[in-house]
Amino acid sequence: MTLMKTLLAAALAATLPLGAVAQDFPDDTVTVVIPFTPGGSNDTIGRYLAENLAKHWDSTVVVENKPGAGSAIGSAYVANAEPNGYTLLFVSATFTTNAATQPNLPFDPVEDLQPIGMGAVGQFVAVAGNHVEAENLADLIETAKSRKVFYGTTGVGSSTHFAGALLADVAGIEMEPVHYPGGTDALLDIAGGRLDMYVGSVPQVLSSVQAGTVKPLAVTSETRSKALPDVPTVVEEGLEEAVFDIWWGVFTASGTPPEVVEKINAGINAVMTTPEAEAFLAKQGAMPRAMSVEAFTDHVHAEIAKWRKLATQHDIRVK
Amino acid sequence: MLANLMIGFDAALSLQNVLYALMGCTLGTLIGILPGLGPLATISMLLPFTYGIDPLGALIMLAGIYYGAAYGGSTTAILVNLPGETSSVVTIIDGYQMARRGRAGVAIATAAIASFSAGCVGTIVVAAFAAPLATVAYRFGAAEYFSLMVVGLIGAVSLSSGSIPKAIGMILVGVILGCVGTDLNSGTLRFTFGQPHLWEGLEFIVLAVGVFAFGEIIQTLTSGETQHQDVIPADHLMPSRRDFRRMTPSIMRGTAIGSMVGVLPGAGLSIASFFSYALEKKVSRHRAEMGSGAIEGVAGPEAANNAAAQTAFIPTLSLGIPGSPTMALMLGAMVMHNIQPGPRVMTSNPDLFWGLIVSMLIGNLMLVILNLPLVGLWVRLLKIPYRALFPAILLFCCMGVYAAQFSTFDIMLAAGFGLAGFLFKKLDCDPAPMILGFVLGPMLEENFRRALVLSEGDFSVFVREPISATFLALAVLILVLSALPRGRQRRSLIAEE
Amino acid sequence: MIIHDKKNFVAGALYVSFGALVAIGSASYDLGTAQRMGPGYFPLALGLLLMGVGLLVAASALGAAGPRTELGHWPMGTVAVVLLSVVLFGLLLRPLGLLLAATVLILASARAHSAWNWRTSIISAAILVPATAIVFVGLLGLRIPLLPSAF
Repeated sequence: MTLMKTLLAAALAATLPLGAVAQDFPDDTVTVVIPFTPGGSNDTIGRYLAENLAKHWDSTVVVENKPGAGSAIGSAYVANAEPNGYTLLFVSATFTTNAATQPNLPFDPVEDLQPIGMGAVGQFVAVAGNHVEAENLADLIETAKSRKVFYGTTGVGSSTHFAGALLADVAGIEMEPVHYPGGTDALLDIAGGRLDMYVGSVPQVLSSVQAGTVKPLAVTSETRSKALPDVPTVVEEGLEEAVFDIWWGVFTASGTPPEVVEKINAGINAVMTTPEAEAFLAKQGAMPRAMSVEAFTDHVHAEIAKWRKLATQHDIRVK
Repeated sequence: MLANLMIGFDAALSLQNVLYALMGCTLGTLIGILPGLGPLATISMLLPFTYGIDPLGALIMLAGIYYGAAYGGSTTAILVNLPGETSSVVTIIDGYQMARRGRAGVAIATAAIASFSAGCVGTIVVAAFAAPLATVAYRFGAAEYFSLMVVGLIGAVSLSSGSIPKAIGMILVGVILGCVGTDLNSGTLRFTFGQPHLWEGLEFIVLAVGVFAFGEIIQTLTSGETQHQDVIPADHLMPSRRDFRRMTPSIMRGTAIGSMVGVLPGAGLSIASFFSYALEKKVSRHRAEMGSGAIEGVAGPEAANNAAAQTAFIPTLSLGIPGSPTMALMLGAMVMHNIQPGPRVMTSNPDLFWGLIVSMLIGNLMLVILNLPLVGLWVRLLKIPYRALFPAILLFCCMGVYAAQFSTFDIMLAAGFGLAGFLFKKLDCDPAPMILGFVLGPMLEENFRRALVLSEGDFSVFVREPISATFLALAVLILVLSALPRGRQRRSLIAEE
Repeated sequence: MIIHDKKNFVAGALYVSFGALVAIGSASYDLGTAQRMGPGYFPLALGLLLMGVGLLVAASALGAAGPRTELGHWPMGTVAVVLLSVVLFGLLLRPLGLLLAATVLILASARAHSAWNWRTSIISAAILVPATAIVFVGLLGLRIPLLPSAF
């Protein structure tokens, strides 16, 4: 029925036990589905995780890119896979924003997928153009009260759209979203003085900050960014509610035995918190964050509820 | 600059780095020849393997894949009428005609020579003007891009040898096909018919394989030419002195155009070869032959494409702003290897910056060395009897379509476009303008709407901005010129020849 | 009425019908205003424009001044064999795997050639199928199933 099973069959000629027991897991090839095209941080981090899980378990872990429809095609594929822990989804926080904006997803993001663990978190930073009369968030809020402020997004319902909308919402200002196909297009328009601001991931805006074409206003996180140590956080600026962190995490089909889920969670936490992993993630502008299955499940479900509310308020939806 | 280049030669010319360049170029050529698989997928799959080697070696190898893919793509375009990427669509027009006249070897060699010379000039442009040219990228906003797209689409009429309204119709069909997928501004799914694989639009390769490759196969099978097609007489493998004389001015013009538009993030690569073809058709001394196997139609666009591929490094290296997903990946690779691109990359990592520049030169040279001996092999492939060759092309196309998205729906969709391609052939509707419409359409709409959002609905923004106004004036000029009776006469003359 | 330029007339008619379909389809999306365009605005405009161009092309085909063209013969049998082989490949790739689907594609499509015979088709399949598997699955490492999933 599926690609993975066919390959397994070819390799192992139908001698597999049906229900894998936790202590035996994994005694077969594990597939990590990445619901995006190759390239980009999700793919890079996912491949790193797969490679190290393979070493950790001394087993074969392969990566399969299943891009399309935001992350819906790959997610639906995993949601419909056999619930045995051999088909995993590695997805970013886009998962929860998609869940809030796409009413017709081919799967139920809460019911059909079992969150397993968080691999890493990354920070977002709000930047403004040099033409904007603002050196910090307070200035920006003042500016937004006197004229229309345009912020860039990477598409309707993207994480950058939610980060910008959340900031406007918490600061009590009106900002107008302008949609771009990618963050770099938005950064270019900021540098050219046509767009006012953008809230995006630290590694993406870092080179523009260093080149002086955009100025950082605040990191939308609880702690400062190691790459931008001089930039204050939204918490320091008094906007605790505007915290927006991007995460990458692992899911599998609902109904997978809890022992298997726990074992995968332990594996993720083990391989993503080594000093080597920390160094790797730092280059992607990310940090390790170990979480239990329960904590990650709560986190994901709370986020979906939060984005659904914000999406209704700001009329962010995909028809 | 000379001293700087010496630093680069020192860094890049180690045996190890030359080997990396060779590996990258070989792999790149392979994936370029196979449709569907782009440099993007290959680079990202290889990226983890480069963590272990030194940064310069890694970048040299990745850059080799990037150029190699562009080279390989034109071979497929010339041999089997299948454009693997947007820029090869233009190469098809005259390149495939050359192949049908037994000049496949000359066409492939011309593509290699044009790419090499343009690549070298492009590299020098990068080395000399990276910093000042980078600011050009800033000056292009939504209004400017919109007007540039308008010029491109109007110019697309010149890709066709048929009547002007018919070509405009095909452009419109292409722009409409480009609307399929999620609307960026509202998130609405347009014309997706409940197919999740269409949410992000039609795959270019699906359309290209269907309309060009499948359409051509059916046409050849049914035109009664199959007996003649079995053996294509090959005169020379290499261009003659006369060929060289004819291609040189086209290469120079193509290089100039490519170097200029390559700097524009996003737009540059896809329109460089189209602009070059349109220009050749207006100014070349042999413009009457364009469309029926003129060497200028291969040399100019191939040069433009490769010059643009080089200058596309300018915004990436000096601003840290990648112009394409592949460039974004290269940027990611640099960051992974602790190199922070930006205006300071030249001063903070001079050996790396100049090493990369020099390795571009080495890579281009290596590609010519690698590809010219292969020309004979490719031409020999065409001597396989058509009844054995065409099922192979079909299989090869299906694999390419599948590899792009791993969707079997795409394979069936390509078959549907094959039917359309056959219809176009029968009705003398040229598909090349349609492809340009398909590629530029989404950018046209997106920039149009973005310009109006940012100007708060003020349409005058398109004529108020000087760059945008200049482009629009140019578009009107082209339209008037080609609609004038003399222009029309010349066009029909071309069509008759 | 005599249609002189049959090719252009049919092309124009096709433009008009495709344009009409697109225009009707776009009308179901939010149109918005010129300042704030909805998702339907742009395709609706394109559809109407294409209808206009189509009328122009078809009308010019009626004049006696233009060239005379005929539609020629339409060998739909060949078209069907080639394209249905491709569709078959798409349908069989997942359930039967690459090796069988590719064999079917080659054997089925080869019949489209007038000089078709079993020997050549079987020889090409025997060479091409393993070669494809080696290049795409072996060399490039694409995850494509080789064998039927039932095994």
